[in-house]
Amino acid sequence: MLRHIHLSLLGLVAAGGALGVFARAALTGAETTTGTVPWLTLLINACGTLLLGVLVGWLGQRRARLQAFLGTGVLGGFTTYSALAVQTATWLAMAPWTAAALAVGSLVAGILSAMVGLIIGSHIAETHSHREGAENAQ
Amino acid sequence: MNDSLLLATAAAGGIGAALRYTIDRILPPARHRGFPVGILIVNITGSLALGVLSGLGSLLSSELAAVVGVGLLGGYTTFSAVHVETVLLAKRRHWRQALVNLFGTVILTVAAAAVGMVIGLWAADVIT
Repeated sequence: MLRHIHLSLLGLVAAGGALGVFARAALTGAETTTGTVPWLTLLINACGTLLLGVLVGWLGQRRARLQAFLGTGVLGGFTTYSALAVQTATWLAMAPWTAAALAVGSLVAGILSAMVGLIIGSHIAETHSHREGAENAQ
Repeated sequence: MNDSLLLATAAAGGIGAALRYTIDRILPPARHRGFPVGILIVNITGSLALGVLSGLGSLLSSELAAVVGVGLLGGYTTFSAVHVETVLLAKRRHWRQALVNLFGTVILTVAAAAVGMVIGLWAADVIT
């Protein structure tokens, strides 16, 4: 089972993850207060998803090391699901409609950012291949 | 957050991300008809653990809660991969897998967080 794990990629993921979590923790602080709407976490998640969309749309299956570091590591660590799940569960007990709005709002933000990111990424990939094509033709 | 706490949180985040990568490699989407089952399990278990942590409340020091909660579990669970994968599944017209991934993740993680909080509150009650 462990043959599927590439140690060099694992190291890149860990280093990237530390950077991503550093950035998120620097923005949010140790704030674990429940009962507030986690706007900042929502914003961080949307930005991180947009950037991951750009990366994946641009590179596809290429550049495994860069994707492990930036995608799985930095952006995977920057965004988070556990905080959102606990916040939503807390709201569920106090105000179910707020919990539902939080869950739906977060899904919509996630899907829209992923779509926009993937479109931007594939545009970058296209522009690149056009330019390379033009250079090869010369 | 002071500098040393921030660094400890970041280091724990690196460990969390490495754990996520390991589970995603052991349970690869390719062997589950493209469904990212590893990331789903990561997000469910991470939400359960953060639920327990938050149920334990002031039993843990705020420093430990930050390192484990914001760092380890924050780095372990991820939001970006869930939504990018969902859109990619939809683009390949795997509608059912896309919907299960999107709604399954939110429903199961919130349920796991709620169960975790109950366990944490119960444990805190037993300990004190």
